[in-house]
Amino acid sequence: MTDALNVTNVTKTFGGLTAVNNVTLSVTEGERRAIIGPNGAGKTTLFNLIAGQLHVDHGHVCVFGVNVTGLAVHKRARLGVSRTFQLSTLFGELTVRQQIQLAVIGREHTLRTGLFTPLSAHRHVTEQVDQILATWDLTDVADTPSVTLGYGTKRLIELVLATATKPRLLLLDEPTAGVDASDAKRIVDTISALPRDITVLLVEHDMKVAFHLADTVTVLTDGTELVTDIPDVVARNQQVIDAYLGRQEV
Amino acid sequence: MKRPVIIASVALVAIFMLPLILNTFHLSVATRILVLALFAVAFNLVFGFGGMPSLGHAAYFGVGGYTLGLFATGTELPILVIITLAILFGGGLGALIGVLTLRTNGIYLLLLTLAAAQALYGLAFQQVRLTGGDNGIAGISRNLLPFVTDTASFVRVTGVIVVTALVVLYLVSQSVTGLALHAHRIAPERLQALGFNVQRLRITAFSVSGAFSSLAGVLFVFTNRFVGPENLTWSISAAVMLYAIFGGARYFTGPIVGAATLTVIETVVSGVTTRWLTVLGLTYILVVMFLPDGLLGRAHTLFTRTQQQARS
Repeated sequence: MTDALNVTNVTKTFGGLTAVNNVTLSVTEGERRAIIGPNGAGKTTLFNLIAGQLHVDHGHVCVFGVNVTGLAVHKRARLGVSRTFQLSTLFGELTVRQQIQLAVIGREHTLRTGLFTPLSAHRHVTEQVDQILATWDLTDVADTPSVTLGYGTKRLIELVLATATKPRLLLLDEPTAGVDASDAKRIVDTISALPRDITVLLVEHDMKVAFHLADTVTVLTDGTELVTDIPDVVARNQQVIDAYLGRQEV
Repeated sequence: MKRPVIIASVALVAIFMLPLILNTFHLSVATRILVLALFAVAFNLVFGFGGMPSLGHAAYFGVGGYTLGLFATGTELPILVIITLAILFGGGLGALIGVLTLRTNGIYLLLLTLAAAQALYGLAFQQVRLTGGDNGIAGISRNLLPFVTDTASFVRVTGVIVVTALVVLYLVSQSVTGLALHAHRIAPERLQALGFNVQRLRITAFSVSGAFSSLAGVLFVFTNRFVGPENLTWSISAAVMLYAIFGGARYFTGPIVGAATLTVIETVVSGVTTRWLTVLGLTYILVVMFLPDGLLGRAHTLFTRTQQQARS
């Protein structure tokens, strides 16, 4: 099986601070991979390097065998890379429907630059958007600006937008951060129900969520990879416990 | 799709009736409003929709005007060719300024666009042999336009051009590009993550905006029968921004309302006192304090509130 993602010897520094230091990791197609680590371990930086918001100082990033190291965000998106953002501001004033329209259109290169044709003329877009709204039980709030919705719903829409682009590699940045228990459960259930042709890489603060969702867990500390293994092994790894949970006083 | 056609038809009929009820002076005010409304809507594509503050839209407005002035007095080209050239120059200049300002936003974009427009102003002012410098180019006849013989027919022809241009701009606002522009204003990095080429979108927006601003500039010169450096001054850029803010920059029709209201106020006030700019300044302060979303924003809030009250 080919790899969905190959990160090779990637380094990123901000001034004197090395946020990601010579990290190498591969994620196979269909895999669920979680990246965990204490605050400031470089999780989000690594994430931005993969999605393209930041560019690497050294090393390579390959997605489905394509070297995307120098590619802009939208070009990576067109290769099937989709991401969620930690802060769910979404497109605040736009309605939920409009936002999903954008996500659906974003993957069709014939539509993205339409200048004079009304949006409503694209029947298949309308149909797909209606279908997505129905699937996610969002029909009631379809014409509401997302800014007026509750936080849990916004986190859910974040996920809807990311999956509406029909991604092959889905990058989830702390999908359950700050969400109450019932919404968190809904989001976790949704992620674990995603079809296996979507490879998922998730940055998570909540160990329980990460261990529940992931096939494999990578632990980052101080910008370097500490260990990569299945959740059970990682959970018992003494180094991980020391680094992530703090050394236990006996 | 049908509603805008109806609104456009009604507007056209109304414009065609204007010469029957207005005197020559008021007709000239009405023409000004039509032209400035087109300019303001074109400007607002970049400003209110795309969230890119430009203080340099006088550049496109003036380039349109000078294209007409230079070619109409210096060549024998048919007027429709000249107007097409003006639109192309405006669009090209928009694309160029869009490219040059790709990496800037907010106050920096404001300053760069202002600088670009000021450069053109300087050029028009100093190339005396070509542009007549401060004296400008006078004697540009309205009769060059097809079907124009007098003030009444000029208003009608201007009306047809403006309404057609507004319908095209409305189509743009309802297209994928229109929606993407709103999204760009709110969260450009998210839009890019969805697969949109944000740089291309910005250049497109500036280009379309420039093209239609240039067309407005052409019509403005026909209205005044004259083009001079004042068509390129920064205060034109500031005025068009005021129209958009005053009427409501989030709405397609906001700039039209703004241009109409402010032009009417200007006409009335100028008849009473010479201190129009003072009045404009005060009006602007009041709008920013009490109508942050413009007249239409206020109307929209009131309307929804009444609806909610009616329901409960």
